[in-house]
Amino acid sequence: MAPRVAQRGCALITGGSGGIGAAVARGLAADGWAVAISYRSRAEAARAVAEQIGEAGGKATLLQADVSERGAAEELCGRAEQRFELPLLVLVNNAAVIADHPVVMLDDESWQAVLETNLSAAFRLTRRALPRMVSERFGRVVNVASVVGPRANPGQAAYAASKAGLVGFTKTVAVEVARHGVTANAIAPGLIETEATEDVRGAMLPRIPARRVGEPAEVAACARFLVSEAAAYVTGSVLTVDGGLSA
Amino acid sequence: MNERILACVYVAIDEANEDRSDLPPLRKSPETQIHGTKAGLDSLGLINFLVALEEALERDLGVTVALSDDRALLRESSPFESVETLVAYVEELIGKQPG
Repeated sequence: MAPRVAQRGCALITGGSGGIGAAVARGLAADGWAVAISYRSRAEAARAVAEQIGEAGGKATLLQADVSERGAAEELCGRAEQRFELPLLVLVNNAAVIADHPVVMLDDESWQAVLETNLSAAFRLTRRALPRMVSERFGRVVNVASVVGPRANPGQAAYAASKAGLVGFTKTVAVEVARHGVTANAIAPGLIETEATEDVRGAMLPRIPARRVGEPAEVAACARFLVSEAAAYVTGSVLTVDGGLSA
Repeated sequence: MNERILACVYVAIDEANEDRSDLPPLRKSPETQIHGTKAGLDSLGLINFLVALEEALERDLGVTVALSDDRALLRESSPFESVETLVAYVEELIGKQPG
């Protein structure tokens, strides 16, 4: 019997120290993937995620990096492959920052910081990871976008631009590599229970048809599906996870 | 020039030409420029061509080589310039394989 695909490679999740990224890391580890968890500054939280995975019988390693730096893609992908001695076959671009200001008050540095982390980093990591995925005839790129982007959200121009760009990027990658067994999809979460949404939950709740915030594990469930072999024919899609908010 | 590898390259050229219906086909000749000239393949076409070549080598010669991975694509002096340089590169890769 051919080995399960999760035994053939490893996965890298950026922004994996908490919230959605941590849930995705735990989920993919439960599916048998050796997961490299990248984090920028929350070492303690990242360590806790890795420990949870280890206690559950999974494999995890931690990689510190600021994905907005140009050399980070090579560093992260290379180290993940070295530590597990496996090719990188799953890339989850989840790291994101926000800089919420009305456009007239949004400075160049904030704009650039958001675009670099949320969009350019995904580009560089994907560019680094794709050749090996093509060579292995299997690969999964999952980009964590947002319901913001296709829809406006006042005060989040940079974030919206980055996430809308990520969706366009995802679709283009999907078409370029579709014939080689490599898929690229985006997930568009709505209001999910993470630290980043703490302040806005109360105001948003009445607008959500499901009348509740989503759980990180519900986003992770979508990522697990998109990474699975069952999703081999799903590519270039955007899977919305928002309790009906954008329906 | 290794004729068996050359035959595999020509198989990959046939596949590449199927995707170039609106462009002049690549000729099956050692001098043909594969990449890096206007008449050659673009970057995406090159990736697809290399994957087709990998499959032909595996199917017809029973050898597994990684041409479409990052190492080869990032070489300063590209082994993918012409059919002749590509055949030599594949020969080099096969020669490095153990046993």
